[in-house]
Amino acid sequence: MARLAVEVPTVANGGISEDLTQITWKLQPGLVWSDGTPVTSADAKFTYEYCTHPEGGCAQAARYEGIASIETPDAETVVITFVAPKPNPYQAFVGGTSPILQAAQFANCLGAAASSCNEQNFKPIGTGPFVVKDFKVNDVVELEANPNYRDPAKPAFATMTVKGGGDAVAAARAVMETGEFDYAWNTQINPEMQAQMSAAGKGVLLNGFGTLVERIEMNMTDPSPALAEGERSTTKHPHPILSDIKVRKALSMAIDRQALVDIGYGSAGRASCNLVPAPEMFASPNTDCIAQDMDGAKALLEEAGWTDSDGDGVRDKDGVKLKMVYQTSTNPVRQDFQVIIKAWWNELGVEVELKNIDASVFFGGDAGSPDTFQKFYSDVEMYANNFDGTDPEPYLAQYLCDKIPGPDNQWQGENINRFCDPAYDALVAELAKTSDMAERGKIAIRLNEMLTKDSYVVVPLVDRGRLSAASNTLGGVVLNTWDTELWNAQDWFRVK
Amino acid sequence: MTDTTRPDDVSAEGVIEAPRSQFRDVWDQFRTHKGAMVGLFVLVSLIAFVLIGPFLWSAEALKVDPDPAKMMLGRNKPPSWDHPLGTDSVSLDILARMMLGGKVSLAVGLVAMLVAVFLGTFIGVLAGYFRRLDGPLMRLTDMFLSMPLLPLLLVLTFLYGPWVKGMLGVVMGSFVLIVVGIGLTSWMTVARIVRGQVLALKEREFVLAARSIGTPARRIILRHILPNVLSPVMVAATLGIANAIITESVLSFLGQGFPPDFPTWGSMLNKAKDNLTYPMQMIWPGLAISLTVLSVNYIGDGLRDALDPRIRGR
Repeated sequence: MARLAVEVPTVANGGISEDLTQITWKLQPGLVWSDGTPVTSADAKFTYEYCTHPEGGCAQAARYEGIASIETPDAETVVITFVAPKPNPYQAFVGGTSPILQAAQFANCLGAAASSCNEQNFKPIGTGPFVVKDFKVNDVVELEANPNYRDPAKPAFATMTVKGGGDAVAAARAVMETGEFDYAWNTQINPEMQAQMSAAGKGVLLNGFGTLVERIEMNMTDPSPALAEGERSTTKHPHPILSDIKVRKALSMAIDRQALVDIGYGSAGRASCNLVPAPEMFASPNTDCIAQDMDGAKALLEEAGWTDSDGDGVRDKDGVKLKMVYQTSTNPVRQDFQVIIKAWWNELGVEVELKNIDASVFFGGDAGSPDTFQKFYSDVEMYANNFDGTDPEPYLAQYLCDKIPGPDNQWQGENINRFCDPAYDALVAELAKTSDMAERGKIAIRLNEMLTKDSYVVVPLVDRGRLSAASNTLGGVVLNTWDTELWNAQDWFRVK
Repeated sequence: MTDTTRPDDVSAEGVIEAPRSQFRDVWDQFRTHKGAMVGLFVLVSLIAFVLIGPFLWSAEALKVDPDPAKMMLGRNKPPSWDHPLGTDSVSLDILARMMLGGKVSLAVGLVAMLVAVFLGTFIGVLAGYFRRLDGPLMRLTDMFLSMPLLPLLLVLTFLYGPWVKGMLGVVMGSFVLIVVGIGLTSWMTVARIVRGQVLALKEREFVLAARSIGTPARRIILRHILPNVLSPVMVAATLGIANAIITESVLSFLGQGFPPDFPTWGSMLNKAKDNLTYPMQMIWPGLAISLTVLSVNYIGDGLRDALDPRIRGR
């Protein structure tokens, strides 16, 4: 859906060139800024220059990656030319995090001056339904209706107040129990509190699902502390136990994902077998893993030669005990998951040692620390990850052989599992060349399945949604997990 | 001892009573301190609770029911006959966890305190008694005092953790690491207090007398000085227990203490505080920690009074 453009450019309507190196946007005629001056293509070109200025340090610079130039043949046309064919050209000027700035307002803020332009940054002139009246950092933003909004009938509200700070519980309470506010986003609270607050009757909890998946990652390399530093968890030593797919599959089969959802997330989560759970065209229909199959898992381990030969309740094979170190970050939900999954794996005959690490260390990425998730000095680890935007290509490309973290790249790779399959690499290369959306979807699904149900290298657990609270008196709210949640604030109205 | 004859040993009529042991005197004085008696009773009950309790109450404290359906049904239950303190977020019996966790917390507190007091007294006496050692030892104390405790502990567990855990197993290894770590980082106050006391004591007449009859330094310290610094050390020690229990929970929270599924009062409290829907899960371990810390403080208070010969009998 195009907001400021006449239509969404595609190859079919000629908006995107055949070789995928150019996209042409047509601005709607008569579009004006909130100060009444017209919006022109020069503003778009200025925004590009502003964000890609070498001294600027723009947070959304990735949106403009691969752009060779932006031309403005007339006041309503923006032509973006890419350095190489771009199968997904809808990056620049698309979505709430990539707005067009008014050239007149930001003219003096190019480059290093950007960070000192407080007045402009806090009170930007835009084309949206509301304009900023007052902005107090870390506290509150006062907005009022934009008199020059393109649809004169909207918005329905004269003013809007956005309150920041506080935690998820307090925000949810302000909407659901006290009714002070009409809307709160990211109200990630536990299932019991969800039920309790819904019972208060002042509002509803909305949930939408994005791409955030809580998963267990299997280490394909040996993390044994007996190995020398610099060889632990590197491709030099394959994992003695987890290299066997039957063990990985059995570990996955022993997990009851629905129980985990009920304990940790309630309506803000759903059991998932996929690394890429959305958008629909990229999501595999695979649901093999949903039902727990303890007996099947036990049989699989027997078949793989893991038997409890000494009767101590722990399976072994050739004198090696089936023992896992299972790490994650410190977080009450994750610790509950650890304890429960440990119980299931114990039942399976696997000995499990739990480890929790402070989140700032675990996700800190410090090459000197042994406890980062990249170093992966354990057999399995659990965390959540998602991808930006709607295209999973860069996300799936994380599992290429050359992205394995190791001492030679300061442990900075993204292929946490040390998964390496030439067939997978080849398919990722093919995805980068494919522009047909249906075909891209098929390849992405295939890649996702190669990591999950074909190999059980990544064991997805829960697809974590976004939870927001809306008052019963607020109408027109549609939760959209792909953009800012205020994306349709112009359509909101007061229910009488 | 220099204070074996006291006026109150002799009654007003001059009739000499049967000789009383010093321990008896201390106990009599201690008994008059009501707070200390209550503290002692509470602490003994808590110790009995964690040591004898598990023999009387054998609900599951560590192993979660692998059957998801059963596990889901028993979560976060209020107190009942089956679970007198209710169950936690994964259906484990809180009473059983309190016993298991208390054993660890109390052991950590007591042993870490002993390590700290032993080290602190040793260094304090050496620094106070031998002038040549005073400078270097006190600078060492200053150095330890100026070091931030928590990062130091984290470095310690980081460097020696895998090695100790490899040798002693995960739980025992964690215990030794935590106890030694806390002990090594909390002896400084004791050392300073003891040094100050020793400096004053060694100029007193009874020490001079002992020295003048040729008593070697070791004997003077053990017989004459140590008993006299006992009271401030006792107070420092009681405060140390409380600190150690809390430091342990901080370490567990940072992932450097015991494994996350192994209960201690500190870690139970930490886990429960994020979910105030079930306040009881937080109150029990919190109550236990507070009671321990309070009772130990009162016992320390009573002991100080009882051990001080100048107060005794008044």
